[in-house]
Amino acid sequence: MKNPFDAQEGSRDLQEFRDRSASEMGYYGWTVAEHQDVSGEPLSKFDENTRVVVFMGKTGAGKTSTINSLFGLSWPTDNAVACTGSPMMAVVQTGHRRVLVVDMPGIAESVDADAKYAAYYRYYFPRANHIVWVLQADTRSYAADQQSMCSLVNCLRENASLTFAVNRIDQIGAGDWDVDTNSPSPWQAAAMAEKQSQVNDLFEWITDGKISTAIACVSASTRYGIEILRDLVIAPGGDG
Amino acid sequence: MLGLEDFGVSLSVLIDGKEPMNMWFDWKTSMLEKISKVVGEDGARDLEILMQREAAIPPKVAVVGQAGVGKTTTINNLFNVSWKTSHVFAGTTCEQRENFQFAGGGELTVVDMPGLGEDLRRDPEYLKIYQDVLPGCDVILWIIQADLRTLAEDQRMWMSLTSGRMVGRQQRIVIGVNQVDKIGPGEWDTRLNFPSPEQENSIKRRCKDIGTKLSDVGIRPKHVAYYSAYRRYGLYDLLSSIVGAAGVAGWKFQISPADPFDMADPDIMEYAKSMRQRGRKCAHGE
Repeated sequence: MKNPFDAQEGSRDLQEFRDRSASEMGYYGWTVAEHQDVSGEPLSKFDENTRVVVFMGKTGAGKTSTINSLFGLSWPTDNAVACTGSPMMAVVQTGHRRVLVVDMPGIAESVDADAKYAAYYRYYFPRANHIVWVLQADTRSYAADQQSMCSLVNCLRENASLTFAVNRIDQIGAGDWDVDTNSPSPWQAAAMAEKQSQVNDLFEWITDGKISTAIACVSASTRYGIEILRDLVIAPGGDG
Repeated sequence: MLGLEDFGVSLSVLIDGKEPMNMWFDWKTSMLEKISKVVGEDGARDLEILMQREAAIPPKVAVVGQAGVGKTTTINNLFNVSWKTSHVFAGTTCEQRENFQFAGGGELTVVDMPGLGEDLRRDPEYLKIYQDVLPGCDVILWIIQADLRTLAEDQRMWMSLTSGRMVGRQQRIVIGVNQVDKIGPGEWDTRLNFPSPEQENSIKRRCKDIGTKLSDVGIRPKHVAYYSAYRRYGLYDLLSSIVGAAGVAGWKFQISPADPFDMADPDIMEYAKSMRQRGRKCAHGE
């Protein structure tokens, strides 16, 4: 008979529950080691071997939502008005892998915001090992991303890599995503392939020869493709 | 050439029989009587010809905005046509225009513009089309997407188009915030074809944010019309904003864009129809 007031049993149960729900949720083993806001020069606090992953993209594309899905965080998001006003950072780790996640404020919020945020981009890009550029799947408007990419691609460090996370993939076309199996409808599956080739066409001329890129279709809200994206974000086969 | 607004004309228009209508020819007759006393009958006749020529030219509405906001879909659903659209891949690539007649009189020329912001390499070409077409238009219908949070590209579009040529055109801008059915959180009420309370909140905040950012680049629209072209919601409001902005005299027409209730539950449609019939009977004193 389980004693609900036994501290040891209680904490064991709680840990079991956490492990079970974490494995169900898909981010088993990740814990948030530290969570701090930017102040001064915090990057110098982290040792050279910490893998820095910067999340970039248009306001509303889903950078924060994707981070929340990937690592089980609950950073604030908003549907109507821009939310992340300054870079948010967290160190997440599993076992011996340690990643510094940096969430940037979005581009194209307004002319004033772009000017204000430019300093942040210029500070973090040279220090990033990996960029996750979040694009919105259900739109045709990518020129602002192209513009931003053009101006930042040259200040990346050597051996940096980039993943395009095409988010809200469940919303493309008529939005008839199969909610039960968490998979695209036949039309959406074909459109996904087209979308990847569209993204390649739009950005290849900018990134070619400068940075290795990959494209992943995801949905932060349904968690489709989140596992695959996480594997891309962590250095393949490396120590992170 | 004299414009009719030089005579201080502002006429309200008939919208589905709900508003009082100022009669074009009553006004014209009384005005011309007064003018002939000043410039003589010949002068007044010349003026009449001038006005008729002006009134015969239908006002031109340019539909502008970023790629994918729904310019072509809006035109299709406002005027019941079927121009080619695409949600995910390339849409309108060149300017296309058409004249639309309203049942009961009146005409409108609508110019559908290609969407900006699709590809950095194509934008300069599209921007040139904008610079060529826009100065010749009477109304600019500027469509912004409700469920996105960006506005910098729209601001930049305006900044690169204005540079002096569009000065004084402020009153001719109609802001249409489209795709409100897709804004989160919450789901669109498909039974009543109406936003959920959470969506209403998001819509209000988005419209307010848009208003603030537009005024940062010098635009203060009188009215921000929010709607969903796809769901046929808010189309009356949008069309009356366009007509109001056109400000051309001599119009007398009944607007009948696609009925919003067509998309709602059949029972609701029946109910709405019976309410309207009852309303008409009351209006006729039955």
